[in-house]
Amino acid sequence: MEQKTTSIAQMPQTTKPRNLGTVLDLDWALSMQANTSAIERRCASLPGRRSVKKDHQAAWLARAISCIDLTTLSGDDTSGRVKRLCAKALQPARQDILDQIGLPYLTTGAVCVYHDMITTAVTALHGTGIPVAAVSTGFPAGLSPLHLRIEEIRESVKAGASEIDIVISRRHVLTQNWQALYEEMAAFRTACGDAHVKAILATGELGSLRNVGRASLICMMAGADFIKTSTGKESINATLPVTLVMLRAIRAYYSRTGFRVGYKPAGGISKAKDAITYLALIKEELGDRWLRPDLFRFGASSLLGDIERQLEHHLTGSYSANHRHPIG
Amino acid sequence: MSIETIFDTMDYGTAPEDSTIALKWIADHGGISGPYINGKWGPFREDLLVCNPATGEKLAGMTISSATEVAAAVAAARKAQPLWEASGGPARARVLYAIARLMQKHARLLSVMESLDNGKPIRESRDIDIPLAIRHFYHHAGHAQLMPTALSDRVALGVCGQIIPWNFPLLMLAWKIAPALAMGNTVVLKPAEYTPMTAMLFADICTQAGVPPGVVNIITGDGNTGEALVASEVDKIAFTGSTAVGRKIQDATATSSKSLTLELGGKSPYIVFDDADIDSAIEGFS
Repeated sequence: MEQKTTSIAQMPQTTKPRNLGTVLDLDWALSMQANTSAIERRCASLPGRRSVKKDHQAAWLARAISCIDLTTLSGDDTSGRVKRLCAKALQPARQDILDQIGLPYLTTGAVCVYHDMITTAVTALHGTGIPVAAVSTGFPAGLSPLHLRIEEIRESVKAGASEIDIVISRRHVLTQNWQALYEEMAAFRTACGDAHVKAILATGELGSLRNVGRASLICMMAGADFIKTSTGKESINATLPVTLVMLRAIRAYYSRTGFRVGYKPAGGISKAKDAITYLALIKEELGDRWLRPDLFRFGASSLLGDIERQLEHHLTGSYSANHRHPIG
Repeated sequence: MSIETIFDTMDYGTAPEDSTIALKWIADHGGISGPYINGKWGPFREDLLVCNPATGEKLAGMTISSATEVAAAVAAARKAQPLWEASGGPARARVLYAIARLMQKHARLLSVMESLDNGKPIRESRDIDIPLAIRHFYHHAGHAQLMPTALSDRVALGVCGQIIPWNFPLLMLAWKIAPALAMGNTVVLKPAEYTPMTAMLFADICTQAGVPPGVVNIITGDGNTGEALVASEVDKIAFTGSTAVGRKIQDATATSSKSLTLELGGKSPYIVFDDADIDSAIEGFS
């Protein structure tokens, strides 16, 4: 079956030079400042300042779909569920909706699963160009033995995952042990080999925006290809304020090194309107280049259903019930 | 642009606020912004044009109130003042509260009208100007309510002549009218000749809120109207505007017993320390 993907290349390796990392520059990382009140005020007013309506909203929502890492990370995952998820990734909305917006071959950016589901996902997505990302290193808490966390990465890469979402040890941030954080990240990056690594900072557990900024810079210096807000399992996951801090860190790193590192918010984005706000913030802070799936991903599952609902509303003027847009 | 094209370019596109309701309001009220004296409208003359700065299109005509008309407004305010003051703080608080509630009810219309008349983005008028103006009326309703106990030794000045600029039309109106009314004064306010529209909406709200005739008077006009107001039989002049005109008003009122407050041109310093979050500092400034 001939299957075209979207016109935007999703595999990071094909479109930009990879972040090679740098030596640890602690002075730089520790000089990172974050004015919490100003950041919160900017983020609170952003949805009111940036309205995207009608055809433009439909196009932006389609772009959001193309950047989704469609995810299932539940204890009761089965290969059946993962196969349905992959089918949804391949055809993220009802075909007539995709046809009417002029993007019949739209797919999500990737599929994200636990290690044991990699083989199922890789098989289901064979030939489609949609990469499989795996969470790793003792996700979500990351408190298993280090050598096993590293081995987990190797096993997942062997099984066919082309992207690995690792979790950092939050205690390194909280105890200000930046050297340990840098070394841990570098080791994970080495274990990934050609697979790309997303560094999950677990921003909800890092205590302050300044720590988020510092951890972002250090993980990028250690070679992260993406920095990711959260596992989705914390009590606070992706928010606009941590997003703003991380985007500014990405910009600072790009200014200094010329390497573009990607950004992934995960957990807590379930409404189409929120997706638009995140895209607007990235457009403002980093520019259009970062609005592509090789540099931006939504870690989401139910978001897709709400986007599909909004697209149907755009086309028909009516909102359908959620159950008419199942995840698979 | 097709959705497919926008998908590639990621343009924001436009998201215009609907102006039809505000424009219809102007049309329904005769298409001319004119004086509101003693609770009644008029006279309406198209002495000047009020335009939308974004497009240059005419929004309405405007009456330039003559010295006679200014005198009539001041006389109405003078007549209404003793009764307004004698009604007591709590009674005035009720009226101010009603004004605040009605402004809230018509917040969207006020915001759109403000943006059409002044040219500021809807995001500013909707999220900053109008909410702040409403808060002022609530705040001064509180002062009026507490006046008998907290400010029992104070009395009203009397009739206040007020002249406001075009940069924050409704907000400047609120800053002037709310405190004056709360303390038992009556007002004659001249909005800027560029931006009379939200003052007109406000006058309509006053009628609906049960403001007694003569307590609030709006006289539309230009610099000459302002001059006539400064020279009239008011007890106080409150002016916000340019330093040059402020000096002229100072000269004109120097030998009178009129109370005077002037809010004139100036710049605020912005100090950024070297360890600041630079991005946030720049945003806070702009």
